[in-house]
Amino acid sequence: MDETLVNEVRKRLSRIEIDGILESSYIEAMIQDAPLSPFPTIFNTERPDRLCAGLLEGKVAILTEGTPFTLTMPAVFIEFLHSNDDYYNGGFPSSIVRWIRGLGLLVALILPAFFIAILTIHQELLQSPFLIRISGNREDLPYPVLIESIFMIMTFELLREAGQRMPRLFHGSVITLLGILIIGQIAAQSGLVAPLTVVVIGVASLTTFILPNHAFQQVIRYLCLPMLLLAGLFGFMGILIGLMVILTHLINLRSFGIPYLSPISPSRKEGWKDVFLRTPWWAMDTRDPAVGVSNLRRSGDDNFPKPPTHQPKENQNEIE
Amino acid sequence: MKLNKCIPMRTFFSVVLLILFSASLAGCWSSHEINNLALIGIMGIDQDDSGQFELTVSIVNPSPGGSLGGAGKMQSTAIVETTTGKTLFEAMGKLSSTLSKEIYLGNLGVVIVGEKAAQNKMESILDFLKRNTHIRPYVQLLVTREKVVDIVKAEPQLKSNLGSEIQGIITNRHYTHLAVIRDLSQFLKEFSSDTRDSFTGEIQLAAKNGINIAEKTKKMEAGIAQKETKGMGHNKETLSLQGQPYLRITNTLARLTSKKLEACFWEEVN
Repeated sequence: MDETLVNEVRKRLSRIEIDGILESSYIEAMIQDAPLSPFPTIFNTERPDRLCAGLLEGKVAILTEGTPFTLTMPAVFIEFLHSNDDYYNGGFPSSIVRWIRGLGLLVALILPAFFIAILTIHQELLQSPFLIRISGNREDLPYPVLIESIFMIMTFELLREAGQRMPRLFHGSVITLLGILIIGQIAAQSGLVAPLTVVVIGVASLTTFILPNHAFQQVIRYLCLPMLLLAGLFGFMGILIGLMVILTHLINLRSFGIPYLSPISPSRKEGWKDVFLRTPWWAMDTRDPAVGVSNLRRSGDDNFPKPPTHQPKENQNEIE
Repeated sequence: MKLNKCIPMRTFFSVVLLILFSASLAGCWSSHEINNLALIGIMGIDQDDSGQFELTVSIVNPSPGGSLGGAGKMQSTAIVETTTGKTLFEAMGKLSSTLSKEIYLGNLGVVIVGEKAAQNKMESILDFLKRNTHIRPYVQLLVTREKVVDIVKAEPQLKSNLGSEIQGIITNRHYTHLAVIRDLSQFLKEFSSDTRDSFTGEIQLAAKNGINIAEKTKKMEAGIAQKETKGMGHNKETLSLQGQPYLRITNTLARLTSKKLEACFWEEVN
């Protein structure tokens, strides 16, 4: 473990002056590098295995009395797209799931914006039969597609929040999903919104659940709205500007001095084994170099499984 | 900590400038609600007896909630409107004055030019088509010897609108090697060339080409299959591609002989 990192965490902790800490997020808010950034720069988890994995990577963990949530730091962007199941399943399926999760991130962030941009500014990108179909569905609808989408997103968020606060007896999450489906269908049938808007916003809203970390999931959910407005006002240009601003912000972010986008930028080849692909354990012989651990090697050189070189002895009894 | 210290002024101004510059490139003024667009699938241009342009367009009128019934063919009707004008812009202006929606040419699939207009007004037609930023460069260009209105009024057989129908005919003409069809960009390139002549295919009503098309529908009522034949005995007004394309030789139209056509193909292949 890097001593300077531990000292930095100690220094930041000792700076805190507060009458009481009821949850680890109090600490998180007061020791993070960019307090105004919507992106979490400290990872919080309530899973002991995730905590141990962080410690093995050379990270520092903070346990807070009275809460199951622990903090690990430094945290990098790609960590929020990884799930602990990735490490327990095989490398091949886990890598595919990671790609699907990446796609899910894009869908949740820009699918509604893309939809708005195409329907309001870039209609020429649609094939004629599809355009006629959408146009037919949108005939005599009272609101523009941008207002309609914001209305649908607000409805989904209201239902989701209500579902979370609902007593366990009523199965809040089930009611939320059913509510989304039923309200969406009724809204489309009563001519308030177009069926395609319900489909797009529904897919984008449900896709946010693909992101494993709750704090990160919330950020993506809420970033969807400014992207939607940018797309409605400026089309694809707005989406590009939005993505550029987000990317610039992410590149600028640091978590305890570590670049937030590492090991993608700045690139370190040792770290790429656990970014978009989850290489098998015998190949993952080094830790993430971005964390700055002194002992970079995680395992031995010869972990690759091989068949036995000698022939197994034949069973003498059977021959006799 | 104060907010203005957290966000450096340079970053703040950069973001403001970025948004301002992007606002000048595209904006709300470019946005058009899809249900406020008069989608034109096919456009016909001809010259009337007084020498004016005769513009005929087929505007798709999608039925509300057309796809709610499920998958399958979209039920849409088309409105055919014809206007005249000294220029195509004037004819377009007249067309616009009759429509409650905005004319949208972004999904225009085919432009049919009448024989007279092709002989006398081709430069003005191409100028109009090229200047309109919504019209795609790969819109198919065809010539007809018949009345353009009759062609535009023809019914699509297998597709939901006539523009898609003609595009489908052009794309899937596997069993004919005769028709050479040019899109707008190819035709323009040849038209402006000093060394090459421009040519494209001809379209005509299927009946004139000796093709008999009848629609047969089957209705299931109370478990008994009833056969109903619609239009049997007379042709539906559908279209077919004519084999011999037109060749433009210094403002005159001539039909290609099979030898010349072979030469065109040879040129295309090589």
